[in-house]
Amino acid sequence: MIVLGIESTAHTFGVGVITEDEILSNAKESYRPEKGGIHPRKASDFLASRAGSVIRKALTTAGAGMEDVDLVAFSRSPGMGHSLRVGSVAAKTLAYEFNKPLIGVNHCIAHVEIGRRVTGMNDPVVLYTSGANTQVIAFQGGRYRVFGETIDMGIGNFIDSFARYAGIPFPGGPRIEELAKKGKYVELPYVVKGMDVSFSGILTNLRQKLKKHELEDLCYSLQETVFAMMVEVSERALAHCQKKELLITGGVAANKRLREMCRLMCKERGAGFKAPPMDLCVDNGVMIAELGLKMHKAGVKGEVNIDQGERTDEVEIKWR
Amino acid sequence: MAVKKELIAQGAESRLYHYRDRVIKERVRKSYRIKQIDIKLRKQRTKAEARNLKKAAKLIKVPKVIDVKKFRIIMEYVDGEVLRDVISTTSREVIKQVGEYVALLHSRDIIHGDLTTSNMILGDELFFIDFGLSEIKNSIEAKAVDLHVLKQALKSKHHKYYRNAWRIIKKAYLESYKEGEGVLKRLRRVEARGRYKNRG
Ligand SMILES: Nc1ncnc2c1ncn2[C@@H]1O[C@H](COP(=O)(O)OP(=O)(O)O)[C@@H](O)[C@H]1O
Ligand SMILES: [Mg+2]
Repeated sequence: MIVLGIESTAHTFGVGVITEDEILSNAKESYRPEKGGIHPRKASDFLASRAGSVIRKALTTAGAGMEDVDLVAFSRSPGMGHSLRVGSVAAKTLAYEFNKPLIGVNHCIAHVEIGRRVTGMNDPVVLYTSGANTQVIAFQGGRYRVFGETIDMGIGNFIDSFARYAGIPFPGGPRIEELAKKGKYVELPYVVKGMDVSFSGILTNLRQKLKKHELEDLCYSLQETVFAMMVEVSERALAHCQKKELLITGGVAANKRLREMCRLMCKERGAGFKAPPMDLCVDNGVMIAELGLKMHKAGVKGEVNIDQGERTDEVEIKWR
Repeated sequence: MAVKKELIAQGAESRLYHYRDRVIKERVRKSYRIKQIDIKLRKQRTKAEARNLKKAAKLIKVPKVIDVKKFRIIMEYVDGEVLRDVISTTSREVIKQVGEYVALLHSRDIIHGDLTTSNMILGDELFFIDFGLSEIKNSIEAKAVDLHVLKQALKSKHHKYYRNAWRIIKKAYLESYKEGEGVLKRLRRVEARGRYKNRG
């Protein structure tokens, strides 16, 4: 069975083509604002302008035409309304034009499911770290439950905000990771509440320190502090849920130091640790196709209206 | 001769040994975090836990602290099961007591910091444990976040009992803490904030 998946929840338009056994293609384009955060309208205009070419590229790379596709899946939730609409229109157009079944899926759960597929982990605690999301998720009682999350901003937005204050161009993450290599530790607040984390106070504190400290030192201390917080709550979830594996995903999973910290923590507690390849950690169409495939096989109809605010634990999981 | 200690748990940040009628809780080094942060946290939390266990002992059932070292607390062993493992058979009275315990702590400005069912032991009576993330704070916001942690813990791990349990806990909390109303009101704001508007 060939599934085409379309991701369009924020600033990436991604299309993936997969079968049960193979990932055939993974094409994407991402909106990069010159400065400042993401403007919803500009982002969605960008996505719309790239939709056609990304779809074509994914099909060409896969060596398939729309006639060969058996199912069209798209991200229907959660995300920015404007962006969601672009993906939804693209998916519906394809499905109606070529008379293919259509299925809408949840973006966060797609991250988890592609992670499970490519790592082979069956029942991991998942640390999901992206722009606006920072969640510790695990499967419990038929659903993916959020055990911990940020109580204010997402880790990616936190890092980008700091970069903006420090005059580092978007996306700030990779540059901060570079700068951190030469830094020394400056004390920062460390804010963990049970399995939740909070970043806004740390951001304020860092901002005040910008004039008084070397940027390298602040980057180093930022990473060491907020990553330790995220690893700590992941470990707390492993202990509380009595699970034995940790999976990291989301765009911030690209950070090598964060991966190393996860690995060390898991090694010390005798737990397994894995991360999908980077192009499957960031937003992508393959994960949408994967979740569409799993739902379809489990006989789930799946809604096709968009839902900006759907929570991870609102989705019934029939395929596990 | 070395005494025989039995490892009873590897918590999130510590190893716990059972020895006779005592528990030795040792905050172990975490190699994933840098020394400066690691030592600071282990010291702070050991100190906070010992101090606030003693304060809480005047209000609710907690294990008695016997001795405190830099990274280690020796406390009384509580015979029982963590609530996490027995919630399906737990009586309404005990759930109510959870709400009362939190209310009593909050009325003295004790924020527990990690109110999950792994940190409650049910033996002959209900005990609260693990005050490592606790602090003393006269703050509605801090108390609301404390409740948020508890609510989320129930919802995620015990969704089947969550609705009922949370209703009982809320009611007990309000009855036992005269400023509870304000905290619950703030809780709604905390939740609205974390819930997302425009995730990307
Ligand atoms: N005083 C005690 N008596 C009996 N068991 C205990 C006691 N303290 C802790 N435990 C057990 O050890 C586990 C971990 O202890 P806890 O203090 O929560 O450590 P951590 O901070 O690492 O989570 C608890 O969930 C409980 O099973
Ligand atoms: Mg504990």
